[in-house]
Amino acid sequence: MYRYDEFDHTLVAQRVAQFRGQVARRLSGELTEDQFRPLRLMNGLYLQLHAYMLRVAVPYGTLSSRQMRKLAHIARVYDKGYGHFTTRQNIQYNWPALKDIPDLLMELAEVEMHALQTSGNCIRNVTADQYAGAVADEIEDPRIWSEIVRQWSSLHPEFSFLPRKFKVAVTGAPTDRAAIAVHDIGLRVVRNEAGEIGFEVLVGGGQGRTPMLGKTIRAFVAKAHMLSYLEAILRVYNEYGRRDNMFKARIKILVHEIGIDEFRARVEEEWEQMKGGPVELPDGEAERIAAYFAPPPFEELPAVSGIFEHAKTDDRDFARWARTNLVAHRQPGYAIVNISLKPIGGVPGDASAEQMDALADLADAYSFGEIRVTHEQNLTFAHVRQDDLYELWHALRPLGLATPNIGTITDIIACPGLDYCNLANARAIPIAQQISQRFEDVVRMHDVGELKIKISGCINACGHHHVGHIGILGVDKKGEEFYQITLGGDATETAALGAIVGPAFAYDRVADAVETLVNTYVDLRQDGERFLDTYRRVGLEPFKEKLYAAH
Amino acid sequence: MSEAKGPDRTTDEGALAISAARGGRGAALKVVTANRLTDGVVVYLTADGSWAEHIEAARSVEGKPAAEALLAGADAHVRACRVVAPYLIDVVTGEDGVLKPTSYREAMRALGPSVRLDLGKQAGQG
Repeated sequence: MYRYDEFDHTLVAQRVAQFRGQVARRLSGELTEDQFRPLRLMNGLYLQLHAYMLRVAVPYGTLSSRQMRKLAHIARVYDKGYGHFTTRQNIQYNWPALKDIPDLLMELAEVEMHALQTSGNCIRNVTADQYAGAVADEIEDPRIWSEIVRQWSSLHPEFSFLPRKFKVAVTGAPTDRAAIAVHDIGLRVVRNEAGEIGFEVLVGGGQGRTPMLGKTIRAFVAKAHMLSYLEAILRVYNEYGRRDNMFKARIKILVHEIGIDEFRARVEEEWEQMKGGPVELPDGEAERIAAYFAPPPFEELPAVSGIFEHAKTDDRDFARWARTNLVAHRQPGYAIVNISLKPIGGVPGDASAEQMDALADLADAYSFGEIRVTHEQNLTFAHVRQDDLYELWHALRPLGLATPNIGTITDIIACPGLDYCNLANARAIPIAQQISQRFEDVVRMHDVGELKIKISGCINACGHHHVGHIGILGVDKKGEEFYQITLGGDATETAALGAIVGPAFAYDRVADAVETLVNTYVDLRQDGERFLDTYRRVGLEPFKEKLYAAH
Repeated sequence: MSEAKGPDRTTDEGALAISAARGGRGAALKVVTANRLTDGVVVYLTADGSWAEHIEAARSVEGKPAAEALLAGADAHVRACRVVAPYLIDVVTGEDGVLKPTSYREAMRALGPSVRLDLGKQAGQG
């Protein structure tokens, strides 16, 4: 993992001290709320429905066990005993008091964490594939360039007041687990015809009220010029992005309005002026950063573990968990373990302080002391010996962390919605809970197979509903909660935006509607087809027909 | 398998818990709400000019002039750094005589998250 250098330590410590002064001046009345609001937002502090909410950055979703213990401590001491892992791979606390925030931030700084750039019109926390450094199809570890982009974008003086917020996602593999097509900039590590490693750069993706898929602006940018190319994109956006209308201020609108060819031409012109200049990384710097992400000291193990294979044969419940929650590791004898934060009927992404502490201990025991946060609101142990899987599963079960449902219909993304969020029009979490309970039976859940449901409580789409195989958007209709359903969305390398299936459903009819969609899929599917495959083959109509005939 | 579950958050209960009051007596009643500066807790302006954590204690008024006067009175509390961003909300008096917000959003603020009945004002917390 990356460790802070003296600059990082100094920068974060200075910001904590600065914010302590700002909070004191706010509490004394020296600063009005209008003056204070932009300052607190720059430090990740929102005022939400019930209380303040602090969003803590988890750079590219990577946490050490020490950091996880600190997050547990903060949940216990400064909040109400839990935290919420988000679709941005961050963690949010829903109840901290303003007067306590400086102390809280100081404690975070002790473990090299902060809440900087988790809000505001700046470059936000960089997100990445949670299987970084572990999967076989990876060309290069995406954390290396995620960290370089983090350092480049942290307190970047030119890009601290952009027209709107700006999100960058990185995948190091052809399989996209970072949803790069729905980010302002998506970076995919690729190899060119000469065998050199660089990046395909996508620009102008995003969700919200105007969802758009990113377009390839350059098929290959050499690593040596990556920062100057990013800087050129941001400069063009900063100059031409709209500031008169916040709903039209994201880069996706600019790219759409002037067209990708014109946008590319402007970027190229800007890039020519700075390419190879001082913004590029100094020689050796990328290698220095890469060293932080060197593989852990793996043991030489046989590719197949007898202990693991026997356990699967002997214990049906373990076999079910292994089927959905494990992913093949590139190191023989190891596996990637996904830890579901979606217990049946639970709140997607929530973890208690006790669970966080226990996970830190388990990460130390089984996964080199490292934990990943996924954008689908789960956690990952990236490097677990297959010999240890059965033991780990036994340890996770009593913690409520062994639900065998990764990628299934009960592994639902849901934003906080009207239960917590000031912007929401409708609740999202209870809809997820209803669907989860409806499909609780693990045999049925596994028979339905891969099905990604994503729920947002408002048009801002924090719950990624546009890219759900089944997307659910909460709307307010004359003071009542209604839910619009979309089908066919996809956040991966075959990215697509969902299509609205028809009129919205009342709060208590959504789970029925989802069940109708699932039953329709099961009736129509051919051998090996996932829900998305069947939808792509048959289209919207058969689903629409069943859905509205049944209601 | 005996998977441990999250807390019981029966959705029907949740729906019931936040169901906003509709119509009823005094549909034009208004109260002033805000968030307390120091900790963000939702508060309501009371008849004696203090701020209460529970809507039952709020001062309700009828008619636009009275509502505007009530809101104007909250400005002093903003200047005194007691609360943030006060505003008027619609309430009705329930059959039990207790004030209830008419919107889902305000019902949620008055009670706490519908998915965590152990938290917020519904659980006796601030």
